[in-house]
Amino acid sequence: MNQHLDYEFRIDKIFGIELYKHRTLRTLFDPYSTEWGKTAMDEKLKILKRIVDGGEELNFLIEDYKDRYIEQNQNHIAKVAEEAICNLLAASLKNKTE
Amino acid sequence: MSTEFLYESKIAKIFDDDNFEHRSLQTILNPHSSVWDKTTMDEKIEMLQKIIKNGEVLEYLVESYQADHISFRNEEVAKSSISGLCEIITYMVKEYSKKIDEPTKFVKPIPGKKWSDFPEKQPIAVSKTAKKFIDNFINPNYKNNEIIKTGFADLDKIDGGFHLGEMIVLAGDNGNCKDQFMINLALNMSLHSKVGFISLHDSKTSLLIRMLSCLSEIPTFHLNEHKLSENNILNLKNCAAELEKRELIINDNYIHSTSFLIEQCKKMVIENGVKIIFFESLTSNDDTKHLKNIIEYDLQLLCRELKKVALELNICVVVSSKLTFKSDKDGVFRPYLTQLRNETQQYADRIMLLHLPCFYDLHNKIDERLKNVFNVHLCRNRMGSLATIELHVNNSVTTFTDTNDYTSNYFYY
Repeated sequence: MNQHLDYEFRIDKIFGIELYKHRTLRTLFDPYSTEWGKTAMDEKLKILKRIVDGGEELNFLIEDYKDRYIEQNQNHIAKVAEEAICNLLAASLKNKTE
Repeated sequence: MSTEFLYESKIAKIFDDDNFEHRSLQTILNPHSSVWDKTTMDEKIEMLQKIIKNGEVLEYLVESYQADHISFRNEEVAKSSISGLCEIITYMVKEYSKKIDEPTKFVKPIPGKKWSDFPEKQPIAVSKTAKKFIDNFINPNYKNNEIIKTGFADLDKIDGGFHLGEMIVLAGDNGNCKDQFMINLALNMSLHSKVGFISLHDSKTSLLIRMLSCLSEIPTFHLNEHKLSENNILNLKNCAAELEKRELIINDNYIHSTSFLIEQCKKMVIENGVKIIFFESLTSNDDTKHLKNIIEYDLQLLCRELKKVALELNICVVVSSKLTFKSDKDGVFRPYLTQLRNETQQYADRIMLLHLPCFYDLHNKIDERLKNVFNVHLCRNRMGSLATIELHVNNSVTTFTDTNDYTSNYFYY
């Protein structure tokens, strides 16, 4: 199970201590979590940008994230990752228009 | 497969073209399809914008795209939608979020302040500035504003005092008077320049009492219990006048994170014109002690940020750091540089190991002379030589004075 926790360590490497509360990435990929509610969309996009700039491939990162929750028998968390991406993309598109 | 999916007709409607070639949405959702390559990322984004503008919810659209493809046993196509979305969003955050980024400065600005409040330092050509600098330097009235005297003659002998732009670490074991030495330094230095003191452990009042104790030489327990003789009261009144001369700012905010600490430092520099900042305890400030690597990252970040703040704002930052002394083979407790964390060593310009020998004298065995000795081992100094300085300590009120005993080498690292 621990192999999928690796993504948390990768995130730690990018952010150091700053993102410790969000290192599970539910802030970005789980719209029904409390972590999601704690940050605004702009902030999420900034976090996402730092992850991408830190050399992470979003696609693989989401795969790791989903695998981790599926293995923990929390399919409902893994399932909503796509919905979160749609929300983030919609927010990003809105930002661009503005 | 000639079947038309439900979402396809919606897309065709939006683009007002029944035969719209990207109506299958594989252009934006399937990076493995041939149509994906037919459009650029910007074109894909434009399409998405148009779709959303027409009231479509991206999430539902993707859901129906997936459901429709799964119903026709195109699981691979359905699955690939997440890859498509990821690629687009990655492109977008890279390309379009530049405007929401902050300037690439070391630390975040304080709300209400602009980056222009911190003028950028320009590189200088030595050939052009050397003559002017030397002429200025040999002028008998020359005063180096980059150096602040510590008030301890022996310490100032080494290279004049503390330099602006430096991060200085005072390290010592518990009970070795780190904080008290800092208070003494702050009091001395505040006679010549503005000093800020960020306190983690003490409130303003208790810090003031400790300072009063240093100046008036009345032990803190007398002050705390309010047992004051007439002489003491007179003495305290003189101290009030003494303190009024000093430009010392105490900040006892609860420091909950590194960024908050940096913000407080900046605030003190901008609003109060502070030139030297003392900060108690170089430890991980964030409330996350559950992971070792997190603490290391945090400490590294803190050291780096403090060094950057010192450089950027051209101030001197003095921090205290705890280290646990180990006893030698002969049973003597001594500080060693290696006991200090690497992160701290890496960023500090000067490291002073503080040692109060009488603290370890449980059996009253040490020499009478050493009972009032406080050693400052300067074991790292980017600007000059290393040394061990011996100060006299008044144990009842913990004040330090010069002894003129100076060893120009620090032996045991």
